[in-house]
Amino acid sequence: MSAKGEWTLAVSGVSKRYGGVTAVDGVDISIQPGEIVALIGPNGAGKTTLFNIISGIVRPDRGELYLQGKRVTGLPSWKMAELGVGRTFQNIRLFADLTILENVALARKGTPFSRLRLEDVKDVLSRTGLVDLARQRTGALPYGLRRKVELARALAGQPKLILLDEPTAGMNNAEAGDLVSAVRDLAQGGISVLLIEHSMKVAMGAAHRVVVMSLGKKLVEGTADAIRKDPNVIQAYLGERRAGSINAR
Amino acid sequence: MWKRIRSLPLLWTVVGAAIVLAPSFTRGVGYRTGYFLQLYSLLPIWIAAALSLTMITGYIGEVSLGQGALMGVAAYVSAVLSTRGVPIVISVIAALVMAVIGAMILGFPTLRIRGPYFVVSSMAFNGMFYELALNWLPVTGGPSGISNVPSYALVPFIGQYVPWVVAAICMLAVWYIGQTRLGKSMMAVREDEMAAGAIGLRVAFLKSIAFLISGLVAGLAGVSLVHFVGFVSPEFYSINQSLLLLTMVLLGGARRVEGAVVGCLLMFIVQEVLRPFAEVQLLCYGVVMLLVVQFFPRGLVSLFERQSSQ
Amino acid sequence: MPLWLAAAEAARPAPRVNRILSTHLDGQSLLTASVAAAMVLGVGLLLYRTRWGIALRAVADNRVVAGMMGIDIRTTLPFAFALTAMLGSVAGCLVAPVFFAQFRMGQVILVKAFAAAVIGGLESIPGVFAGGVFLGVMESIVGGYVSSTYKDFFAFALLITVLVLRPMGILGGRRVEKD
Repeated sequence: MSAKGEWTLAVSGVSKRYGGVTAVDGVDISIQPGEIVALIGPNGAGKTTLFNIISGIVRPDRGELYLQGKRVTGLPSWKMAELGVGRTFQNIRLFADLTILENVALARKGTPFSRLRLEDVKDVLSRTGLVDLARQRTGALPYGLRRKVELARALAGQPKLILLDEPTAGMNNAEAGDLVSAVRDLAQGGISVLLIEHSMKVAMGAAHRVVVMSLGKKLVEGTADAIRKDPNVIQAYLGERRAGSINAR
Repeated sequence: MWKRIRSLPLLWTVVGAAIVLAPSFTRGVGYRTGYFLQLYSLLPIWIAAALSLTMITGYIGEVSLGQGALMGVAAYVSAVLSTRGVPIVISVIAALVMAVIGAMILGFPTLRIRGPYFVVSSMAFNGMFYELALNWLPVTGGPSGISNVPSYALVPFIGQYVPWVVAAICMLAVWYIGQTRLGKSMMAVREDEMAAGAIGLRVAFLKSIAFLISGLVAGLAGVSLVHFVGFVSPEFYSINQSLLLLTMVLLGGARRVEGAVVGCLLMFIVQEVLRPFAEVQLLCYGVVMLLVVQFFPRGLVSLFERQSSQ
Repeated sequence: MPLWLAAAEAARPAPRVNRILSTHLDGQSLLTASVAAAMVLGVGLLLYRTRWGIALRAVADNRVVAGMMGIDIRTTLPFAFALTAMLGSVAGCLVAPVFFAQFRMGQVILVKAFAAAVIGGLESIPGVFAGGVFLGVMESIVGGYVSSTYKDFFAFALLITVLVLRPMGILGGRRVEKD
């Protein structure tokens, strides 16, 4: 167990209740720089709530959060973004009336009365292949492009940790494969990636480590292979003991 | 189309010249001079007031029915001070400061509530101001207001252009802000507040700035108005004015400066056309609102917009 | 005198003054109070015990899924608005003799009605009733002991305060969504 400072993110004993429902119950997670961790679990397991807590949108009732050793529990989302947490959303939240350029450039800091220029974010845009479309309004774009824009926007802030909420939803195998290699590139650059995935194939294939959540608690964590065979995980998903592994989707 | 037009300095020169020469023209022709001059000076004041609403509704995305009160705060403060011997410059500055403070009070609830809740909150704000203006007799003069406020209307040559200068400054300022990072950040808040926070935008701060600027612009409108007509009364700044402003802005287009201008112009024309049918006026405004919301949610200006960037 | 006018005159409650607990109540106030109570009861029953009412609450909660469940959203909402208009006009009739009917009276009442609903809790029927009573009492207290000219001012200020501090009202359950 290394010193707290070595972890990009350390989540310790975090809980959140909504009325009578405990969405997240005493969860511990930590990620190292350059690591890809997949967060899986049946619906309602609390994965998106956990994301909301980590990105500062929601305050946990109990527990602590540490970003690179610094205590960040309860900080608002803009502060977390400034400290290097980037995020995409399950149901893509882009600024529809603004252009791709504007969406992405706003994620980078700048002076209030400056204009948003292409040069400022050209690196991120060319990396995601969006340079030519920079002046298009995002509201009218097709789904695949909107996912790309959201990713570009999350990357523009030069995050140390990036949270991807179901990034391959609605993608075919080829596109998902592209995303996985993009994620691997990110990790090699030293960025930590935490992703929520429903696709077992993507989760097991892309991640160094898998964390399984169910009903707000962390069930088990380990390598993809270990998870695949764990009977608790199988029961959580399928509700009964079954010999053999979960079939990859 | 707008982008092309804006890059034609010729058009703006023509428009500018028309505005400058209009009073002399109508005087020369002798057509209802006094009345026309009144309208001529009121239109830019309304444009400025509408722009204060553009900052809130267009840039931040909240509908406000409190702009009339903001104008009123500035108008009353300046009227009260200048009729008690305070030099005009000081009373105007004091008025603007109070308008900004008022705007911050108006806008504070948006940090916690949105949408229809804020609309009603802004109505309550306007109501508070109206009640205060109506009842605080020693200071505000109650229902009859305050008269004999120093007016620039009679200053030869320059007087009639003052509101236009004020309107031009406000137009330029609001337009410019919309082009900068600050303005775009506000629009991001309008589009999706949660996502805006997630990329590092300080939502509360941006909302406050928007209201601050809105207060300043509404204050300028209020001050221009009171020192033009020479008196204040609570009716001028009641919720009806706020509703009228909202109608103008929705009609023309809330998100762009051009929308405020177009909306005001059209409403002025409609008002004049309907003057013989006073009873129908209010009905028409309501119908206009319904039609606009149904068929032109982005206002008439949206008819000229293309798909690419603002 | 036209027949309908005569009938209306006859139906008007006599201006008797009753002494109840050292306050004065006249016929109009009693009528208004009992109609209000009846309306609250009626709307409550409608929303919680009838199919249509439950359907309406479903639509309010999640329009898309409600539509998928077979609720006709195209008629439900207009009906709800029509009901609102009916209730509003009853209120208007009751209040008109007290407040001097003019075309603009709606605005002040709108804000106060919204205030009553918000204070009590927008999602709760008893809340709305409680809010109305609370607002009325506050207004009278402020009007009597502080200043009667500024009672509307205080009503507005109270509304803004409640909206900022507790948007869900006193009896409201769910937090007001900011999105």
